[in-house]
Amino acid sequence: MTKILLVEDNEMNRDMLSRRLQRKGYVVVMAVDGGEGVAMAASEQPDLILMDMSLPVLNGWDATRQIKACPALKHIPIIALTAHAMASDREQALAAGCDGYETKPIELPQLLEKIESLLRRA
Amino acid sequence: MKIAIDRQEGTAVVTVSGRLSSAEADLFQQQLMAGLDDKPTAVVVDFSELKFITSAGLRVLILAAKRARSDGYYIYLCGMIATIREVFEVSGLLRIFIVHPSLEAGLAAVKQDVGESVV
Amino acid sequence: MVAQVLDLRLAAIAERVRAVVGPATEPISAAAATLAAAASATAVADEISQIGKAARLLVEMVETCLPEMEEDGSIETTCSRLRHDLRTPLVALKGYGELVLEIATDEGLDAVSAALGPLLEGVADVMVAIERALPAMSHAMAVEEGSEGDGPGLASYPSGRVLVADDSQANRDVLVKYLSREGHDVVAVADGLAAVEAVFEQPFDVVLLDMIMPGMNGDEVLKAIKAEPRLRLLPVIMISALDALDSIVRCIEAGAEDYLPKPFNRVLLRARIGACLEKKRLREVELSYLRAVEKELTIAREVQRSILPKAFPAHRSLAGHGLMDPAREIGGDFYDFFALDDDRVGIAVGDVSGKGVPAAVYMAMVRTQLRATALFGLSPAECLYRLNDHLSADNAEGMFVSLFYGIIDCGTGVFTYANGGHNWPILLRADGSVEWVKGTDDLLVGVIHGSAYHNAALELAAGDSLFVYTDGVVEAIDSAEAEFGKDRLAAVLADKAGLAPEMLCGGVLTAVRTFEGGLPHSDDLTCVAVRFLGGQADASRFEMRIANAIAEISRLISAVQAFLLRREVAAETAYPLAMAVEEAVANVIRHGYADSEPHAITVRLACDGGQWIAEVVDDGVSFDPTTRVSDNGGFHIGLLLIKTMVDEIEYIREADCNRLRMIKSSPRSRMPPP
Repeated sequence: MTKILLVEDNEMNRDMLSRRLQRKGYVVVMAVDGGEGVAMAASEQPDLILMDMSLPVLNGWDATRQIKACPALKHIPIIALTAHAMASDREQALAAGCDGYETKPIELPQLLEKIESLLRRA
Repeated sequence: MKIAIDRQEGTAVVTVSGRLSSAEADLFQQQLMAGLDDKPTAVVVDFSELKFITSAGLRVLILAAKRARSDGYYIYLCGMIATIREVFEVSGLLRIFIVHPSLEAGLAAVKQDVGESVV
Repeated sequence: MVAQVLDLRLAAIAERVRAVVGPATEPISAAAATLAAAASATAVADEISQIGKAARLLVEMVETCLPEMEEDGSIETTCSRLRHDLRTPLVALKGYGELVLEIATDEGLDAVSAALGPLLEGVADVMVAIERALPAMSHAMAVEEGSEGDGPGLASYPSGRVLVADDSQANRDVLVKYLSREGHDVVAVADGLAAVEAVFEQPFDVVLLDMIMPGMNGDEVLKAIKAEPRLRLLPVIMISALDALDSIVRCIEAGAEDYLPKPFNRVLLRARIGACLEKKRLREVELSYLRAVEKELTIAREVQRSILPKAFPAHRSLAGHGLMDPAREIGGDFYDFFALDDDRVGIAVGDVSGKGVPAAVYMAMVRTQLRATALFGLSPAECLYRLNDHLSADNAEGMFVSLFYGIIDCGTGVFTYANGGHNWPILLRADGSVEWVKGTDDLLVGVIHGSAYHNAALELAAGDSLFVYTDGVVEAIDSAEAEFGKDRLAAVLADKAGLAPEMLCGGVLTAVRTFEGGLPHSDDLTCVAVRFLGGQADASRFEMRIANAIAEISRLISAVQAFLLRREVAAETAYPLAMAVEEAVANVIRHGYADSEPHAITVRLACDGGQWIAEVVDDGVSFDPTTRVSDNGGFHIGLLLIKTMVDEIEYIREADCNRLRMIKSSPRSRMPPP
């Protein structure tokens, strides 16, 4: 069973995306801010992380940087979810160490394809 | 893999369970080394729930043993199942670790060893 | 004063949002209400209630829109924030909407499905409306309003080659003008067929396709592009009137990247093209990163492959074969075999801790140092001892290698070995019985400076094979996570006794891979098989040649003891005989040579009736121990010991060689000592 950690502060979107992923057969665990995201990456050892970039407490870029700096966690692929469809957001996400990015609103087939290709690579 | 470190007076009791292979070794190293930072008088590792170990796991234990040696205490390995014990035997590591059949036996040995060295 | 002007601008933005976005939200509210009323909706009640909530939130946000200036005082940042906030309920609406559509389609809830089309279309419309009301860049608004002052320089997106396919001359002109000003290189064609020809013949970074064109429609061109593997990743943006949303959805499903509504919005066009080029650039960055990783793996694999020996040293009494099946990420295995002299062949198998390039580099170092040490003719234990000292001297990383090294004497079949923490090899007898080659349980090599390593020896008879392997064999797992294990390995080999080494290695590889059932393996698999074809002498005789070095003695004695043990010679005979040989050889090495050149010493053992005869032959200075026992020279203690250990000694000088024979009667027929 593939376990995905979804880090998203907006309750409605967290609920929505987790339902959609569960329906596709993934196990989804959730964190509501960057700090919790980093902690759960370590405790849950997910196969992949979906990281919203604009998060409270610790933003997605910094959370990604922390996860990627940890030798035990850096292998976990991270897909950034950026709300603004701006080039600089993607660049920043990639610079922080994200392995992929998707803009919101999510195109699910595209996201699923990205998830599977990253999991295959890992 | 799950790791827990419990302090009983000067003795650090480390419990490792599950698998200890290259996927888990980095985390094990981080946590074990952090547990050695405040210089215990002895380290007892309870392996009774450990199912599998590879060379990556052995490497972490060797690093810990080197650190223990330079800091002046010993590492006691307890409760290995037969297959794990065989890995230690084949690797020649029984020469550098003190091994006891159970956690209780390990703790009793620590009490005796550390007690004697104080007297 | 400045603050007041800014406040006015904020109020203007809020007004624009209400005017442009407000009306676009109405179809969403209507669709949400229809959904809530759908009778068959219990299966998706949760989701539908969330849709209602998100729709209400959206309407409320638009109605009460009152942006606050961001801390940096920039209108652009403020708009960006507002755009983000407004999009949040849309993200939820789209997500829940698609989810409910999926479920409703599966469960046949037609009333629900029917309401979802308008909902999702509404979402797309509101997205467009938000981009109209709040353009991505504040200065882009100025451009749209007619300022011609900005050149291509303002584009923050990369530029690229764009193909425009549209049958309307006016549309082509607008697009070419806009895109050229953004710094893109634009090619325009008027129909679908020309578009297909263009993309197959020239390189493009992005394609803009009008949906309706004469001859070949946009969606057909799209299909042609996506069907060509070489062009599959080429991003395509569909141009369409907003009322053709159904066909847009189909095109996106067919692989279109995005769509652009007519009439053209300069900002939207710019953002869509920019996003495509950006994605392409990032995909290239990703690809080049992947290539770099792949290259690193290739280097490691190349290092590993290049250090493996090409062929087993040719010898009439020995056949051997090595095999390594590397894991995707190099696991650090290696094997080696080399001729030490005419009669002796060294065999090594090792497994370095860790993976990837560091393991490959360490492995290359181990192999080089082992060869350098081994080729001096040192015993296996001595080699491991020296190698360990080198490797552990400066080893902050805590790397190590499990290493098995042995030397086969092809004349006698004696195999002398040392084991630094490696898996026990298997001795496969000619009759199919299997014995574990247990080591002396010495430590992994490279861990602790000064660790001791010990020699052990065993004797191979004609047809016996040795099988040395790494973890990749015994730790292979099947789909139920069961290990291949030692017992299974022993059983596979027992079946193959007497087969050539290639067949043993190949048979084990096949057995392991079959066991795994196609699962990917995370570790290298390595094995070496060596088959002894029989020495020149019969098995009741022992002959071994050593160099005149003290370090050689332990190897010799191990072999002598192994031979006597295998002959089941009683300890009270075997022990003194071995000790006498040791003393005699030590004397020769210490005192027998006038030069410092290397010399060979030959030791033979044979049983003659009730007697064991040990013979030591050397080409040192002439020396007759039988006449020198009572001398006051340096070696009389050794000679006395020999005299005590055996029953009789004989000496001959022939062909410039000393030949010393020591005779030991078996206990029952022992004569009283002289």
